[in-house]
Amino acid sequence: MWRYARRRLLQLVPSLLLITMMVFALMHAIPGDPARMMVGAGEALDEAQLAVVRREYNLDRPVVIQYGLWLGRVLSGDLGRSAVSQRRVSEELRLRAGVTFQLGLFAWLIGALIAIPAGIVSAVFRGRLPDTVATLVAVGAVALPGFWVGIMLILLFGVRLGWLPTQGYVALAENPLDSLRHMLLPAIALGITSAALVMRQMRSALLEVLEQDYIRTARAKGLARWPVVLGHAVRNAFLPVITVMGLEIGRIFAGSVVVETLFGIPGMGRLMVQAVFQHDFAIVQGSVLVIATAVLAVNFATDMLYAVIDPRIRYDT
Amino acid sequence: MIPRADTAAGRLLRAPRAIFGVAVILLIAACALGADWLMLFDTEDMDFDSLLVAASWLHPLGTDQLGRDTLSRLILGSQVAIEVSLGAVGLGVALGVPLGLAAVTLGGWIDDVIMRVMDAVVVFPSLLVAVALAAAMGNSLGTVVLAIGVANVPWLARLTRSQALAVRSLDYVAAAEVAGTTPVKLMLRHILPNSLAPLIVQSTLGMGYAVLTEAALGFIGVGVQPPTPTWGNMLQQAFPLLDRQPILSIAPGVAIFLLVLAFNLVGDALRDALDPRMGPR
Repeated sequence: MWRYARRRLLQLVPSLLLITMMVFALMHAIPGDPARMMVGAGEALDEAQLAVVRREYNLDRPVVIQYGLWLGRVLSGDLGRSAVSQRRVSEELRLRAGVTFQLGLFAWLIGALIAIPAGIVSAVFRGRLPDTVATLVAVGAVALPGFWVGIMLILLFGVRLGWLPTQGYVALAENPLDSLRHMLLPAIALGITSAALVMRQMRSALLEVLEQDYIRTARAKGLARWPVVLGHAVRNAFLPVITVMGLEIGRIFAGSVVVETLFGIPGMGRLMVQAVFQHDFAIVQGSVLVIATAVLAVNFATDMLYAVIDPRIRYDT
Repeated sequence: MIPRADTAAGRLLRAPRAIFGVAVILLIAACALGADWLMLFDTEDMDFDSLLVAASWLHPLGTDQLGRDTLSRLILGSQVAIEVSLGAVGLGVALGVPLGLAAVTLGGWIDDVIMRVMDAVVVFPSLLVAVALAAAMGNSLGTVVLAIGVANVPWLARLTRSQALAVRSLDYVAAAEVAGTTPVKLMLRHILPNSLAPLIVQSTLGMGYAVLTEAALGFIGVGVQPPTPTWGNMLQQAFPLLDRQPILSIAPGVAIFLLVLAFNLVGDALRDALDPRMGPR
């Protein structure tokens, strides 16, 4: 197990390096003077002042050196400063990452809590009414833009019924109940696609397991249906479901860009959208780097979880 | 002529969900191609005497805050949806398939490098790449296509690689190799054609995903800009009017849903139809 973990961990190093290279290259693809960009479009600086900026950010050195110096700063946690607020990017992101994390976790949990039981019921009642209904809902949900579901939820629960708040954010620690009320609609909008995909994966994986001989044996020796399903089958069907649930974290992070904008939630996603419109490239670069690294970390954790659940993987590769 | 029931095309055209999907795609593609004839109003025509009017015979989906006809804008919006889905998947195939084939043909460290780079690209969610690219390169149809297309590349490259690897181990490929076929010809003539089925399925599903991503980008104001209507930017402009003219927010969403659903249904049906286990080909 540890040897496997160490090998996978070592494989992360080149991936991380490639990610930093891509993020660095992305920001250097921008046309225009990078020195002007660093200080923000609105600042009027003369050539001498720009030269100072260039020297300070090493913009007068070769690109490879620039990358090396930038990487060194990133590794020490320095992502530069926002051109708009003049605050550290790491500080701006830290303030908002918690909000995005809370929303994402909530969306992911709501999705899993609905999708896993729905997938199990669907597989057990294959071809009958519960299966038909669940499958139709899932096929439809995958084709829906999550943010549009959010707009429709705002229309129904906010505008028409007035039951739930549709804008803003309340910290969980401040007022748990109000926080959850604010989070409910955005979390559904963010999690609906993932829930549909997890449900379909749960259903098909469970169907495959239910056809195995050992399930028939367990039933033949007199065990009731549900103990067999929950005790033997679900456990063994869970591996592909975990893969999908891990992959969905990336989708949820990306979706937060739109959903946070829609519901006025002050998270990383909305910060990034605002930064795009304010040409605040340091923030864009920082958020992309943080999110990509987070997705990579989740993928690694998924792989590790795999190895814990299924011992074959540890020796196989 | 109706294809025989036991061919892939025959199986496809006998599945109700595929018929529905193909019909919806053809309808929306017809809207995109024939927009100039189908639109009752010019989409930039503002009519200040009929702002935010409700649905009527003249305006079946009402008008927006500038008095523009919603149905006409919806029809014109289908153009961007179709362009983005074809462009993004086309770009993904054009880059991803050769990369996957190169990885298999050349093997060794080149295979490793290609696949590691693909692994790194996968970590960037496509919506995020699109937002960052739009920041870097400005808002345009090209940026949207490039961003979504780039996000498609690693999936198609991985799929091509795994398919080509599986096909390459088959006996007939070994026979062709022994007969002296060059590696490139082997790849293009024998391996690629027999690896196509899953690529077609993935591409169809990718088109639906491209439509969803474009809509999300349009909603946050990145990508194709007004006055050119896209279903995404129509939703953005409609949102502040949600309490006064909800149909402005409902109609584009339904259009997106139908097109994505159609692509997904056709993709699923293709997967079943192209599966050789389903019957003789």
